Amino acid sequence: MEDGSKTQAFRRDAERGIEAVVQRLRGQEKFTDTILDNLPLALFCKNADDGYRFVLWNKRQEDITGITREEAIGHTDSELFSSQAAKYFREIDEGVINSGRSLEIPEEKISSPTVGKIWLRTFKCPITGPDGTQLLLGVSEDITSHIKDRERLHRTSKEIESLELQLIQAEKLESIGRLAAGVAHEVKNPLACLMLGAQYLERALEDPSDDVKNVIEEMKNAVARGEQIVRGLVDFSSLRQLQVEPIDPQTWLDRAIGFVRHECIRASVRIRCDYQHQGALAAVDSAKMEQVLVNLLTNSIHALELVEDRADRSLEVTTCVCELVEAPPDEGDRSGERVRKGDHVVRIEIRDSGPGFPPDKLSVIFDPFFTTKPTGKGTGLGMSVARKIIALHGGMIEIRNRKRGGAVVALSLKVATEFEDTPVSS
Amino acid sequence: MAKVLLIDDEEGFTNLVKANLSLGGKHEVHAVNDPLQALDAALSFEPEIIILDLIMPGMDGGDVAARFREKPELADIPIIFLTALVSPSEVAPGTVAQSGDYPLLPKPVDINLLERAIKENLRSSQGE
Repeated sequence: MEDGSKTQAFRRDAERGIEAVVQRLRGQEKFTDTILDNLPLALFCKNADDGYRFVLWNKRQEDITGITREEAIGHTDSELFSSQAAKYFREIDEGVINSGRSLEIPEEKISSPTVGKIWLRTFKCPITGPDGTQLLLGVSEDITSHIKDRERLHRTSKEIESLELQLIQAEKLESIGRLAAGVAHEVKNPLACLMLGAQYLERALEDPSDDVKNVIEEMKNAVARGEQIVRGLVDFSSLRQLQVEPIDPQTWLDRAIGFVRHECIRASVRIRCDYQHQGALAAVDSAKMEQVLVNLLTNSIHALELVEDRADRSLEVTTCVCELVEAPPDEGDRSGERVRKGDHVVRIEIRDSGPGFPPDKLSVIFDPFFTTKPTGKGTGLGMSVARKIIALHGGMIEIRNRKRGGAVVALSLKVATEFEDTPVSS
Repeated sequence: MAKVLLIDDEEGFTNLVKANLSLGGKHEVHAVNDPLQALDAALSFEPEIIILDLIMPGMDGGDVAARFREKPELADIPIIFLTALVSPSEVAPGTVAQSGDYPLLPKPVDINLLERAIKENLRSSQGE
């Protein structure tokens, strides 16, 4: 063979050899890329010598951030994320590179422009590239679901705590209730005897002086008050079974108003009714609802007695069917199904032109024995009983002061199902 | 003036009702505190009207009334029930509630209401 052909053959072999090595390297590179893209962890690499531009961005990093490899490679954090986030990343990156030490960030919240808010656990370390460049390697694990589980667990344990407290409270009330019922029953008879005694003195004394008459009157009033408290205690402790049937609220509203008519006349209170519920029915125990209404009306009448000008004492009872705008606060009394936001309800409002409720007392108004009335004028049990009755019906009771003075008490009761098509008033 | 048989387990209560009803000789009242002795007391006293507490230990007012109804000499005597289960504030003021055929008065008892109930129910039975 000549020298020329030897050289050509050598060159051909060398080229084939180089080709084979290149193919092998390419194959290895592809293999490495495949590994990186199939990792369940997000991998990225920034060139610290070139403005921390991204030089590596694997598939999982694409998935987590919603930013593609093509969009990321050659760009910086400030071009891909918010300026606040970019600043945060840069600070950490520089810290890692300058200290030469790796860093684990157990939890960081990232806001990706495409995916929204996610939680990551990130590991960053300084490495040297194949050509000697200073690189920052980052590995991230998406722990969003883990964080959400943790929050849910936290919420659940808070709920359990709250339920436990409510249960304890309910048990306390239950035993107070039982005690109250027992006391009430025992006290009734002595009260009955006192009443009979006072009445006997009234009739047996011939020509009693005014003082004697007053004393006897006071005794009778005291017995009546005692009896009211006993009644309140019995009510408070005995609310259990309701006899519910769909009924037009007008029936028990009218009865309740009839019951307090004498009181209204005595106190010069004008009552006005405006029923706009168009015959919609609500499933209630009408005797209990009547009791609630009598209670609320009586409260209003007592409040109105504080209004000096008798002509200004007015009471308005209105009804309508509407959609519940706000759900009732969590009261823990889950004996029935409560009304929910968006439910059709019959809304009954009692508005008075009295002095309104002291604002600092609005939150405790339903506590048993809370009362703003002077001693002798009310037991303080009425509102807590009323609330309990409404809660047992799955309804809602709200109290607020009117802007122009006076108070509004609003009851919301679920419309009985067959009447859900009743037109809703605004 | 009427012969009234009063049946209630509380002695203090019956003493006071008796004192009120017999004031000025208005009525002749015989009180019984043991419901088990009510039947014999009724048969010997021959009342024109009976005032009967509903809840009593040993035998409640309903059972006592049933026993009276079984005896021909007692069957037509009007009965007024008293009960601590209803409060005066649960009844519209000034009215006498009914429990079926019988008037039902809440405790604590208003003596004026009791006297009115006696008057009205005596009259109606005497009118028959």
